Amino acid sequence: MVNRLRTKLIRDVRAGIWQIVAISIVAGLGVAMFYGLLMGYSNQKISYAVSYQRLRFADVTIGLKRAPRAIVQRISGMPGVIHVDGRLVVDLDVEQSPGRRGRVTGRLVTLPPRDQPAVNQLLVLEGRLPIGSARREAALESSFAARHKYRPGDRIFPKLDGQRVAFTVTGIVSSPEYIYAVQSKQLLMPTPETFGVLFVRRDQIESLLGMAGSVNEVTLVTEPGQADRIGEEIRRRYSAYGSQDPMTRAEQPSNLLLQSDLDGYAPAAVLMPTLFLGTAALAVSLVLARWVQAQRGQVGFLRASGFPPSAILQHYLELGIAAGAGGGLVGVGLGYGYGLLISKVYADLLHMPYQIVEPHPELAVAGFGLSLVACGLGALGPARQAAAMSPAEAMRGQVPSSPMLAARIPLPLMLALPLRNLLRRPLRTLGTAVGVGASTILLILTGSMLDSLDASLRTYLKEVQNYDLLVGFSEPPADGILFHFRRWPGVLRVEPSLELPVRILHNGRSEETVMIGVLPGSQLRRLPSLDTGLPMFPLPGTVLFTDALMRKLNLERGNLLNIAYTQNTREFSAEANLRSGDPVHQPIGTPIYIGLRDLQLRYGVPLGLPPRGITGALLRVEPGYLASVRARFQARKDVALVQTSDELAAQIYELTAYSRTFMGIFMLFGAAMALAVTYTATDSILWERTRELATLRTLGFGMGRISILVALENMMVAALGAAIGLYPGIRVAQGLMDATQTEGFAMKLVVSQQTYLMALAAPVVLVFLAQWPGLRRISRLDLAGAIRLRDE
Amino acid sequence: MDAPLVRMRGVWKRYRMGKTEVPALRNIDLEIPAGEFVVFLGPSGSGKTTLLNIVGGLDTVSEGEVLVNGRVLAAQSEAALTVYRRETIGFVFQFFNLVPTLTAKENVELVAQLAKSPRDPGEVLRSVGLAGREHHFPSAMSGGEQQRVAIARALVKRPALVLADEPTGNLDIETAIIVLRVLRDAQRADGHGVLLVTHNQDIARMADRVVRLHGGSLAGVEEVAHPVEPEELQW
Repeated sequence: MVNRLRTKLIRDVRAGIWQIVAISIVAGLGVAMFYGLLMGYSNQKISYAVSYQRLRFADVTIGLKRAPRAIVQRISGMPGVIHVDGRLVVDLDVEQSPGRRGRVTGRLVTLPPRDQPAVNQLLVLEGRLPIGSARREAALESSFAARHKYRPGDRIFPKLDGQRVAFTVTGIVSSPEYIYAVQSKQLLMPTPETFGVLFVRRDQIESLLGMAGSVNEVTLVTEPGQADRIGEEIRRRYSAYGSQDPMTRAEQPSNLLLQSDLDGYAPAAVLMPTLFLGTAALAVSLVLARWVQAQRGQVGFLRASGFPPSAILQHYLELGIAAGAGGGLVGVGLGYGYGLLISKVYADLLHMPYQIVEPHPELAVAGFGLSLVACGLGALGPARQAAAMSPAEAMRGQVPSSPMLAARIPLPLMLALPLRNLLRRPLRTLGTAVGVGASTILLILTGSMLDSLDASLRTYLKEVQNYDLLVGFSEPPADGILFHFRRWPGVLRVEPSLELPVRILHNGRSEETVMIGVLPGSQLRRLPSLDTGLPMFPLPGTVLFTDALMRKLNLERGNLLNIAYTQNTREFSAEANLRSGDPVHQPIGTPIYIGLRDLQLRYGVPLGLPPRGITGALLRVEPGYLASVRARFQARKDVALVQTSDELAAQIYELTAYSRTFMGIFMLFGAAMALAVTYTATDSILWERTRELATLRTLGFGMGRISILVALENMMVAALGAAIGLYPGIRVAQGLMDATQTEGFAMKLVVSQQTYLMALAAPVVLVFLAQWPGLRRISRLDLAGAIRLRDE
Repeated sequence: MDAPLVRMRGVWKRYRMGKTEVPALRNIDLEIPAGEFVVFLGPSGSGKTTLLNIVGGLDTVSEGEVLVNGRVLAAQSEAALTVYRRETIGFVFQFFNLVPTLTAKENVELVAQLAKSPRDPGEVLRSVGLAGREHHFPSAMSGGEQQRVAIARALVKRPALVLADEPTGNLDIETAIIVLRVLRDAQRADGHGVLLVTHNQDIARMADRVVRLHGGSLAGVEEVAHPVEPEELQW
């Protein structure tokens, strides 16, 4: 015989299908978050690993001033070394053909005369690698080539020893070192507009660079766990050749950004599914609690007929699990699409040599299981309550507690009725409100993340970097040169800039960054205090840090630090012991700031710069003159970099597009969850009160009046839920923000008025939508039948 | 007289209402033979439903002893009481308590699947006059039909005792008589006992035995020499 309890289960599910669907959607969104995020995470991780492994990404890189190529052979014999390559890496000005941006910074990286290098091999995406011959050919890194629309056959003009030399582009390549095409660890941001990598054959370039038979960088693939030891050994052994500190994979700029992307997944992959699945569990619990109440008579009969408590428990658990199974199916489908979308957005953002997209069925199974567990746990409470019911008591029906407190509040009947209904079962009302509150949490969370992102960019672009144009010089001139620019038409203000790469040492911790000299009273570069937001200026002998870097170095105000120029040589070197000042609020990048004069005297002069030497200039330009001023700078031979603030903004917005896509999807999911939760809550209330509302109708209440009564009650719950979710929403947002901070991108939590308004108003508005199906049902009720109902 | 089906000795049932204890049953001594149609008669609050629930293993005594079929109910665990209800008792309720999402036949099958050797659900439904209505849902049936489904559901597992709590309380007289006829016929045909709770004096005329209760105490037990047929009842 067919199990009739199972038949009842199926029919119950069918009768309450929209509530089950709504719960399944909430659970499904949680599973989709879980599966999609982890699928994206896993695919990216595998893509990195495969790209790194197939292209032999260096485990360690050691810069040298100049060393004979013979050391490559010697290093290859060291224990633990698998592959080694010696090469020349030189940054220089590159001119481009008309129609493209005039001048950019190029990095020439040499390849062996034939074939691929032993380490950091290239994946040819288009065309071919240069052929080692008399022809001057170069392969271009893909993000730079894409930005400037290079195709094989085009020409590019690096300036070697002041001479413009034409190279033919033979191919577009992807390199494991430049998946994020980052110039240096000091400038942890891909800037394809102004920076590109050119791969050229060694024999075509080394004599032009005056480096024949020499290398200035060795790259190695080592046995696992040997990179640090070998790197240190090479640095020590070849110090006579100006060996620099080894750079392991963990410190490699592109890999650093990739890792920070991966690290960004973890908090979201845990928090978001937890929020959704927790809400699904709560929704199951609320709906089932109402079902159990409505079916008390049936439960009583089943128990009286000899069904054991375990059968009742199982029956109601199965209802929860049915919702969980629905959620699991929805979630796996959605999650697969979401995972593909993440992978695609990421692949579009980066030029990953090998993009691996796998469905990861184990994650789908785990997501499905999580949905079952969450909804099963949600069902456990009501199911246990049903199983524990004494049959005699169950059949007597439940007498609701009387709203004593509410009865004392003098209110018009239309307000008193909904309020008393809510206070009649305060715990259930609270449960429903908490469900609505979960949506508020999500709306606050996603809204504030977008607010914070916008505010951070505004702070950086309008407060910290308050210039229209940034100019970088090829060789540091004296600041007298700025007087010349001030006379240019349209130039309103010019300020000097001096930036030097430095290494900070503090309590055994070391960090490389760039030290920027700040002009007292600067209007084009401001340093807002983290605490007050007011502009600060470093006192003599003091350096200001971003709060992210202070945390990383475990710094406090007043600590003494050793700060050394990173490229110290025997001839020129500079280092000083300086004190840390108050933290600066700078969301992007981790430079450190010192007074301009301090920097010039303590570092510039020892390094052989002019006494008032500068490396660049910041300009405020009248809007109508920006293009012409920019063009004039680009035409100058002593200028290596020209960047408008709009170009910088565009680069940053491009870099954060991925985060925005994420947040946008979270917000959509949040709105869907809010609708689903409010639907389950309002519809449950309406089911439960069908008889009461039908009675009101028979007494002459019109649907309009009934709708107002119901809407008032639901809106009171929604408003309570929104209020409940507000504070936790802010805390969760702060937690997520803290967890996703990277040293290069550190936001401060900002919640805009619009976000507050949206988070508070959305549940109330959604209630109007959500109660519509239930009200429609009541308007179509067979009144005579409905008022006879005992249990429903 | 053979060994009684139900034997009660010094049964008290007290409910706690806040700090005070309210007795629902006071020192009940009662014996009910097997196979009889017994009516528990009394006004509201007399304790008749409490007594029925105790016999049905839905409630426990505060003091005293209850034996059904020689089994001491007070000593039973909840699990054992569940088995007892499953194997011995069939319930019929005033408000039917049908599962609204199951058809008439499915409602009966639901209980049949609990029994070791159940009757055929279709046959039981026919026996209560519901031939042709097997596949209707409760919402499409009249009150009398629903109550007959409830009776069929109680009978399908061949219980030793059918307990009916105000089974006609919600029905008009014509329908009530049909329901009482079904109960009477089933009792005669199968030989199981029926304990029927009612406040309707007239229904007592069809009983083999009437147990009168008042204020939780036994007001009297009388054997009815010539029980009338349900169709002769009037109220």
